[in-house]
Amino acid sequence: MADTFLLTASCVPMGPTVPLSMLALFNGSGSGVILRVYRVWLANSSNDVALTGTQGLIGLSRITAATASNWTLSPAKCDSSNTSLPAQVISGCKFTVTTSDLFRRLAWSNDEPAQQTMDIDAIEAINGTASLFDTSYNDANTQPIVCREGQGVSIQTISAFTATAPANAGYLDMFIEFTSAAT
Amino acid sequence: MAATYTITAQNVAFAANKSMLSIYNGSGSGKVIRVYRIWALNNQLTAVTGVLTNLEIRRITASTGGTDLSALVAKHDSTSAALPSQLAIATNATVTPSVLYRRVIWSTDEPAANAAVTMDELQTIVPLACIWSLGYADSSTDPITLREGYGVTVMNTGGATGQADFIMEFTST
Repeated sequence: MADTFLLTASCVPMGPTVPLSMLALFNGSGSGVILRVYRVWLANSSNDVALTGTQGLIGLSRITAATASNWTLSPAKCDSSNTSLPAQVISGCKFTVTTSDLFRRLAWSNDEPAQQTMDIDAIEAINGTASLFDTSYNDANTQPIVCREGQGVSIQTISAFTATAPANAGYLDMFIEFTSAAT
Repeated sequence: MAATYTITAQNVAFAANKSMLSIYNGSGSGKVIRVYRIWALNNQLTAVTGVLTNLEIRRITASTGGTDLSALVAKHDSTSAALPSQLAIATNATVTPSVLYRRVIWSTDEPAANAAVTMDELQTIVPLACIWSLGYADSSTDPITLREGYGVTVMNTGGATGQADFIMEFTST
């Protein structure tokens, strides 16, 4: 099986800036590897303060360029003996990216979930319903998102997320499961 | 694994007896298209007075016109071949429907944040919004297989308010 990695971003603040790359994984030129994105998850992690959220749109797109921000993240190896990712593979939050193909988009509530309350915000916090993308996972007939050199993926806010009170616009946890291989 | 593609038809307005998204494999394509999964996602943000309608997944035997969505097809691997010109991917095409594969009830009302869960909100959850997956992750069954002269549509049979996104995931060999 291919070397597998998990890119995790916790409590990434949403906001009014559109579009915003919430989490990006980019395979830069010269890496010598191909990344294959198998599964992408979103989860509503707005659990620190009550807010009055809104409904917006989030998407998963291929990207063809990425410039790192000061919020970089290192994917975790599923097996500590896996070969480390080359330096040309960069990942993190709030990168500046160039998007191309759209793979998924969905409506999203940025309101906080609450215990003993059944609303869409609570459902968004449940791992079983938090899957955004999973093509080719457990299926040999289809392809995952293949990121060759100069390609990657980004979870983007498509519409502005605001909150009427307080000022913060909620948080997302995001997870990208991917493999790295020479071919 | 076969060359895989995803088409997302965004903000498709509901109208009676409308083909919301269709893929038609026209004569001469030289390809077999296999549709593995189909989603209907309630991605509308504007308030509407929604209604219940029926969405039908049907085989089609002809397709003309509509709004061409070919430019929005996403290759899962950028080195995959371009789709043949005989493949018609469109919304609001005039289609000739035949056999029924699946029928689902759908609410055309918009989802709301910070509100009690209704159908409208559940229709925004990707795993719950998958309305077709036969043949996906299973080698014993066929996906919807489109040989030349055949296609598939998601057809709205009723309500004419609101809009939704429709996604088809397919391979070409």
